[in-house]
Amino acid sequence: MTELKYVKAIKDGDFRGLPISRASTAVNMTGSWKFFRPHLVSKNSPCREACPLQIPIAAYLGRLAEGKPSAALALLREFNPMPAVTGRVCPNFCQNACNRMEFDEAVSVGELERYLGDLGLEQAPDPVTVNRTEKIAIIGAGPAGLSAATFLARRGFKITLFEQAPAAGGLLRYAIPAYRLPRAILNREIDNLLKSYQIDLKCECRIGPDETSQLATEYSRIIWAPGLQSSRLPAAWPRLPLIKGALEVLSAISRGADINGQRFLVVGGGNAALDTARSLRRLGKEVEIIYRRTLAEMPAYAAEIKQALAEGLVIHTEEVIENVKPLTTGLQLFIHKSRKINEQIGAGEFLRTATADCLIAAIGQESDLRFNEHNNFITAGDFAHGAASVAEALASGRRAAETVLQQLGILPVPENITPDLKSKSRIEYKQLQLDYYAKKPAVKMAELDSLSRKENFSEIHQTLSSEQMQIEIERCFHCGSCTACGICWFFCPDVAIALDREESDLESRVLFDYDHCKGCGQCAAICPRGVIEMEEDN
Amino acid sequence: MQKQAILLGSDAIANGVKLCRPAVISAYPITPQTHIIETLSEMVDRGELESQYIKVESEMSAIAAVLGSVSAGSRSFTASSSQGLAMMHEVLHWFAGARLPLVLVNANRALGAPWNIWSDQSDSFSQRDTGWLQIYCETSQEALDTIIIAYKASEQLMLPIMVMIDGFILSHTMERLLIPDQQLVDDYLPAYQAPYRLDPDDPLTFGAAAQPDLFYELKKTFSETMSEAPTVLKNCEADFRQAFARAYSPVMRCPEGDEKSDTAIICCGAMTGTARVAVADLNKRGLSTDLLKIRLLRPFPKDELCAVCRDKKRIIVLNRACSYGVGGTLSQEVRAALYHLEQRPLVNDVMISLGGKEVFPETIAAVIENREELSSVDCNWLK
Amino acid sequence: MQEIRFHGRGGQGAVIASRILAQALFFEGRYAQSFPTFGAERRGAPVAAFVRADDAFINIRSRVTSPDYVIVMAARLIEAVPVSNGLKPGGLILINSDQPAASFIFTGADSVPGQVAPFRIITVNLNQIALKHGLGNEIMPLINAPVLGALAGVSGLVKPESLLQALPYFIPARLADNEKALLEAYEKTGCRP
Repeated sequence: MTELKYVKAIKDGDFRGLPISRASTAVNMTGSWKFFRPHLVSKNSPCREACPLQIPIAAYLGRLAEGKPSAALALLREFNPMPAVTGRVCPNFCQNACNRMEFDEAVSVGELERYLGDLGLEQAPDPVTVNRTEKIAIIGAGPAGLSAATFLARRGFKITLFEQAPAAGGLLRYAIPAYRLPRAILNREIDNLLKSYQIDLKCECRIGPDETSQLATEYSRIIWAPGLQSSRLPAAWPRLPLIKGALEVLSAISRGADINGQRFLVVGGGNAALDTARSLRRLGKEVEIIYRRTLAEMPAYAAEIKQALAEGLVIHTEEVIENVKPLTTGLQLFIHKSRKINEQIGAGEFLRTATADCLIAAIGQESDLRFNEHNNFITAGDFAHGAASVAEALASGRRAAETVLQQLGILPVPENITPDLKSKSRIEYKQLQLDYYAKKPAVKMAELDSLSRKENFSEIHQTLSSEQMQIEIERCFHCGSCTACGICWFFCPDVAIALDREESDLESRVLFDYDHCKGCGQCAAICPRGVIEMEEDN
Repeated sequence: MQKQAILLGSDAIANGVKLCRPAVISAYPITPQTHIIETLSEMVDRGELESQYIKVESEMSAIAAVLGSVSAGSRSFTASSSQGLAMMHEVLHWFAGARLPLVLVNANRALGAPWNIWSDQSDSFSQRDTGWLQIYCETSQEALDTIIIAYKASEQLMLPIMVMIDGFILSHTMERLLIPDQQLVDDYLPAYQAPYRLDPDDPLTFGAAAQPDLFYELKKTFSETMSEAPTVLKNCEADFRQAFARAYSPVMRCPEGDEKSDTAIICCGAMTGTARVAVADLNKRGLSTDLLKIRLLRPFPKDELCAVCRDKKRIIVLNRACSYGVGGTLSQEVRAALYHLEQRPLVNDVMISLGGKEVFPETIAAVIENREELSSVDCNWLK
Repeated sequence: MQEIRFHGRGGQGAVIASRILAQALFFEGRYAQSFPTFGAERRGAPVAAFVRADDAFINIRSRVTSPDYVIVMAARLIEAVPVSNGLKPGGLILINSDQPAASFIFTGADSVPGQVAPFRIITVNLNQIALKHGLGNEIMPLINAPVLGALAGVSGLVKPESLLQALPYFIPARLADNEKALLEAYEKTGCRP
């Protein structure tokens, strides 16, 4: 057959006449066409901004979604030393800010945190080494004190924790009832902290003004976090033995002390009021609550109010006890309709009298402790800021630790442990690309029914099973936090995206090949979490 | 050895493809081509054919998939029809421009609207300028043989070849044919040795941007290669005749025609068979007519056609594809080719069928009988 | 060349019957061509299938317009389709029916009024044969095997052995029953050429 010149040319390895070349295309890399380039920018999820501890919820749930529960737990612990506790008692500020509320309903973040927290009970935090000479004393082993101790121990400090009660925990142990926070869980979580962080706990050790000055000589810094131990009483009431503060009663119940009397009346609308009333009912007492405002105005957590009502607790609203008179046995109470005078609640018309064996005030807490101001003293927790949530107490402890580090020159002043959320923007619902999500109801923890729970202290909720966790974790959008899901990789028309799923730095998990990226922006448009942004390419 | 068989056209084609041992097959189903790839997928499934069968979601993906496999040096196959071929259009250009060898079988079918699934050559005629060779087949035997020839020619030329059958008329008709045995085909068609291919260890740049002057040069070479393609194809056809004892050429005179007649019918595809019957009868009745079959449409075999039309006075082109407002597409090709003859014959442009309109021997006979009434300027549509 | 036209309803097996016949003719060393009316594969719609048989390659591609044999697989089709159109004089029309041949009178374009149709009409109750051998059901008996036995019996166009040889290529199930039905139809039609 005829030898054809182009066939011969190909055989010689010479590509003249063919659109093929040995020359590099580097000069013609499509990347040179672009005017915009994609890059990863983590953003603040609304849940994180709402959290007193600024926990990077989207990120740690991302690790959980990737099937790395230990890594998720480690990240969670960096911000929250007590996830098994907060997973139970936190009112979940995060869920009220969840972007998913606009889609269907909020992700059950509390449930997921509790799942990891329970996992952590069996996996104590990595032990630390004491490598600093300065010693730190912390007064009060409640959540603020424990938190401060944790964050300082992680920096190599030896911590001595002074606690007046027989065991650590503060309000967690002596106020929050066991049906909300079982003591075994609490003990385990605290034990893990004490062991891993080599914290020296001294119980039944009351520090008064005399002892404080002595401590100041021994310890470089003293964090004062004793909490608020006494309940306030209304000024109008007489001081009588049968009128008690809520904390006193809750503490007695926690210690297993005998509670005398049968008929109780609790005054107040906060969590302490509900905890007291529900605990007493679990001891077989007859209890009712009197609250001066409406049900909707009660400061207690909504979930707790709902549970209490389900258990049949009677709450009289818009009533006040104007006067109390002692009887031979018990008390006589004069109940009035409440009346608003210049935003203050006062007594209105008389309604009825009632009798009770004991009247409990749950209208606020105060401290009877006084101490001498000292340069080396730092205050934290409820004592410093007034009564607040456990998460807020933990955050306050972290801030106190931060102050210590700054004062000792370990942490330069502008730097701190508390994350600076101001440097990043918040990701809004409309910035998410949710085509890959289907509407699905939130998974909730199983709950003991109101009949079988109201007479004992069994924990009301059960931690999610791993199957339930798996379903719920898939609902999280991981707003503003890269999960290396690979949707950008799939859609990139120039094969200019690679993924590094093992990379822990969330802004380095997607690798852009800028030599070949044309800057089309499909990745930015398709990213479900809104973490890919286009910036001008120079 | 060649084995007698009676098969559906689509099965005959699948057997022809199988004998060529493509390493990769990717196609998307469309009536009336579907049986071809179904049969191939069953062959792969049963292990009779060692091939990667890639399922895709569109014809665009099918042609893109084989673009990749051929670039990587694998002999590949795809098939389509009508709207499916139209969907491949963009990649058809790229395939040829990249100088990649491939055999694509197209079952000719009309393009909508209105909706029509029957035989019509407009789909492949619309792809004349994509740089592919186009071969039209009259019988299932010819289709099977042409696939084998086409792989050989395609790989020598480094150009893709489209092999056409009339949808339904060939694909859904069962007829007798010879199936060559594997050894015979292996001897004729050696394994594909890509002179260049995608290889991470020996990186090459394929089809990168070319500046205007280089682009012009490359397209000039491309066009020169195309103009030599009939020679390469004829060589492959000659070798085939040696090995398989069946003769094909870019333009074929049908023995039913009268070579000495000054009138010739030109057509392409399966219609030629019916035309043979019509012409044989016309010659018997004294209406002397010659019959020419165009097998190669691209590149158009103008030298071969001029050689057999030199002494004709009238050429009647039977069209099954239309360039609307101009007339039969095949007529345009014939007119352009014959323009350089010193004694140009009259060319009658007849639109004999579109969208499966049935062509009987009587339909063709009537055109010849009334040839004096045909316009030699405008397209002649049937009354 | 012999030309055969099958009339049936979609799903009844006319297309398969035409293919079996072509395959059988091939086994006898002949050239055969089989194709259906294209694109009319709706179940129940009238369909036609065509077979040509010759001793040389068959060039013609258009549908059969002047058949030697017409096979009507459902007698009621005669009301809807002009089945006898183009039938060659002396040709044969085979009807699947339980009625005698005399009850079918063809009129229309191809028949001269008042004259006896210039072709033979033969009826065979193929439904009965099919059901006897368990092929199909009352609503749609599967008669593609017996119809070919009957055609072989009445025409001598093809040998029953060739049909039996071709059957397994197209009948995936109940092969033995189809073979028996084919032979019964063949014998019932008197083995007459």
